[in-house]
This record gives sequence, C-alpha cells and structure tokens, in this order.
Amino acid sequence: MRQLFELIYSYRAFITFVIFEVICLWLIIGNSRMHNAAFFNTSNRLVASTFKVKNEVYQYFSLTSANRDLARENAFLREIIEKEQKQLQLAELEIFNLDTLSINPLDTTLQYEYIPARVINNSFRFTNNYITVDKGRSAGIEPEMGVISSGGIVGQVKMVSGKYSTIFSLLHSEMFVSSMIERLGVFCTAKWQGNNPALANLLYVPRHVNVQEGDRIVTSGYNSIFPPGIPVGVVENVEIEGNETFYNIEIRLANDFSRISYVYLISNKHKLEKDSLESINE
Amino acid sequence: MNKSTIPYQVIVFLVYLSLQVFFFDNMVLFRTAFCFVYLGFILLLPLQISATMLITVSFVAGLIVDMFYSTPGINASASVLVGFIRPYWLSLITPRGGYEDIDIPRLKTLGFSWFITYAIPLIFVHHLSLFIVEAGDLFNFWFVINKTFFSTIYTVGILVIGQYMFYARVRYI
Repeated sequence: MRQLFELIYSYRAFITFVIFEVICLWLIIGNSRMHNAAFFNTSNRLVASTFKVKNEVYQYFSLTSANRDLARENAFLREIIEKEQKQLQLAELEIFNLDTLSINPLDTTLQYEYIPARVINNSFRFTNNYITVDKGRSAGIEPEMGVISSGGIVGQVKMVSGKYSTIFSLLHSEMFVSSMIERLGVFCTAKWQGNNPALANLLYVPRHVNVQEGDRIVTSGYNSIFPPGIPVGVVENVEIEGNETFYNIEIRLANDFSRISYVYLISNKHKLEKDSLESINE
Repeated sequence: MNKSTIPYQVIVFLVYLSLQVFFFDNMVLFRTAFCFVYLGFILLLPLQISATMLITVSFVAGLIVDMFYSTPGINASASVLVGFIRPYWLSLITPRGGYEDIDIPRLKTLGFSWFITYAIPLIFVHHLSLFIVEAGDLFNFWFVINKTFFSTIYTVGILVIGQYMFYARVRYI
C-alpha cells in the first residue's frame, strides 16, 4: 500500500496533468451541446459586465458607422410605412365602394416581436464564434430565439442570464440556416465555411436549378426561428463538378460581422403552437 | 515585495487578463495572427513553483480566459499542457550557470537568446493544441498550421517587447 502511494506521489505531476486535461475535455464536449455549462459562458454576469465596460469605451470608435446603419434602416422602415399607409388608404376606399372586407380588422396581433439589444462582445475570427448582448431573461429573451440586424441574419440565442445573453453567431461550425433562393423559391441550407467571416456555403441546391451569381438568398421561414425573407447573402460563385448531385455555391453574407453594433432578437408568438403541431405529426 | 508571493502573482495575472480581454482580443492581424498574451503569466511564474502547483495555476488561468471567449476548456487544455511541459523544457535548456539565484525566468536575467529558446516551443505547442481543438477536426489543416505559425511569432514578439518595456535592467553577476 505504501509503495502504491509512493508511486502515485512520484507521478503526481503527470496525474494532475491528466486529471485537468480530462476536465477540459469534458468541458469542451459539454459545451458543444446546446445550453450547457452556463457558468463558463459570456452571459455569466461577471464576464458580461466586464464586456459592457469594454464596449462603452470601444463603441465610440464605431459610432459613425453604427449611426449610418441605423439611419439607413430608419429610412427603409419609413418607406415601408408609407407604402403600407397608401395601401390601407386604397383598401379603405375599396371598402367604401364595394362594402366588402376580406381581412378581419381586429386581428392586429403580430406573429413576430422584435426586441432590440446592443452587442457588447463579438468574435468573428475563430471557428466557433459567439456574440454577447445586453438583454436577457428580464427582457423576455429565451434560448433558441433568432437574432437579426439591420443588414440581415446574425445568429441564434445560445444561453440567457438575467440581463445578458450569449448568441451563436452565424459564424459557428454548428449553425445551419434554412434558406431560400429568392428569385426561384428553391430551398437550401446556408452554412459558414470556417475561415472567412464574409463568405458562406450554400448546401443542397440540386443540379437542375438554374442558380446564378447575384441571386439573393433569404431565410425560408420553414423553421420557427426566423421570419421568412430576412437577407442571408448574395450568391458569389457557382460551381458544379462532373456528376455531383448538388452545386458548390459560395455566398457573400449580407452582414458585415466585424461591425455589428445593434441587433434584434425575434420572439415568435406562434412557435409553441407550430412546434407542438409538428411533433404530433411525427 | 517578494516576487513569488501569491498576492503579487494574482495582480500580475489580472494585468495579463485585462490586456488579453480588453486589448489583444481585438488585435488580430490579417485574420490569422492571434495574440495570447496571458501565456506570459504562465511562462514567467517563479522557477521554484512545484510541478503540480504550476499545472493547477495554468488550468485556472486558462479557464478564466476561456470564460471571456465562450470556449470552456479550450484555452485551459492548452495552458495545462504548457504547464506540464514547462519544467521538463526548463531542465533541458539549463544555461551554463544553472538557475542559481534566479527567481523568475526573465529576458533581462537570462538573455535574449535563452528567452527566445524558452518561449517559442512552449508557445508553439500551446497555439497548435489550441487551434486544433478549436477547429474540432483537421479539415482545415493548413489553415490551422498557418494560424499557429503566425500567432506564435506574434505572441512571442509581444512578450519580448513587454519584457524590454516593463522590467528595469538588473545585472546578475
């Protein structure tokens, strides 16, 4: 017995090394599954409040571009409001004329609610990237909610604490986005390549589809995370080899991930209903 | 103040950590060169520290850095590896007079060429293991090697500059 202890003692450094490496391995594997190891994430309050201080300093350097983006988005939204108003006026005229109304005016509840948040930490240079924002459970944010910005799709909520949330960036090796080629209505999947933060791949576009450079890619709305029609990117490069079934398509992402400052988290009011209906069908 | 006391080392670690999180997090060159300046803390721990203590400290340091990168275990596993190798590497590259009277393996006390020989392999091992684990597979093998190579140069460069900037010239006879 004493000899055993002596043996352990003489290899103590190696044994400590192995123990810690096993702990690390457990943490690495545990983290790749969703919503695990909450303590070691940037939505942890201590870490997030540090990021907030950092962001308060750094944001002054990007104020110009953040303002420009927000102003552009305001202009875009104003345009939509005006269009809708005109259509409403037309509809009202028609009501007077025809005395018919096909839509129920009382049904004004919106399916998607947008919660604005400020990005306080953003990585885009690793293989798996995460974004931290300054809104959490108290603002109604829940894991798996979709995240967009004025430019387009950003990611999906990974973990939520009281006041902060960690988001899977689109630049993450496990993010697959159900998307659609807008011009053709063909469904496909967008996935980041792993090194260049501006480019992604478009998977499962079958060979008979006439996809062209410059085609816009938007979200399909098939999963209940993103509303349909959110920009994902633009087709940059189309290739097909010999007798492959699917194209190799490269798209340029709609968002510049190096300067995301404000995002919207999307809460889908119909998610529960849709998911439970779909799980019944299975 | 004795340089090997625990409060002193805690302060040193906090300085390295804030440099890492507030500054070098944003200082990635050409999308390939990353600077993990916190490794300086592990490399510059006192020589008298016991092997198990060194591994434990490396683990904690790596884990705290991981918390700021949302990558639990990745930095920690790489720095535990460095903490494990460091004593063996130190005994292999013992300078001619041995390590007598030397508390911390600094550039000023042991010389530029010794420090480079000491730092480069350890930092290379750290970066290589970190980038391989981070990539998750060897699909982008040359990208990983590329990142490791340039990041090693970058980190070593920053540490050497730091050594020249912050430690007054002390001659040991």
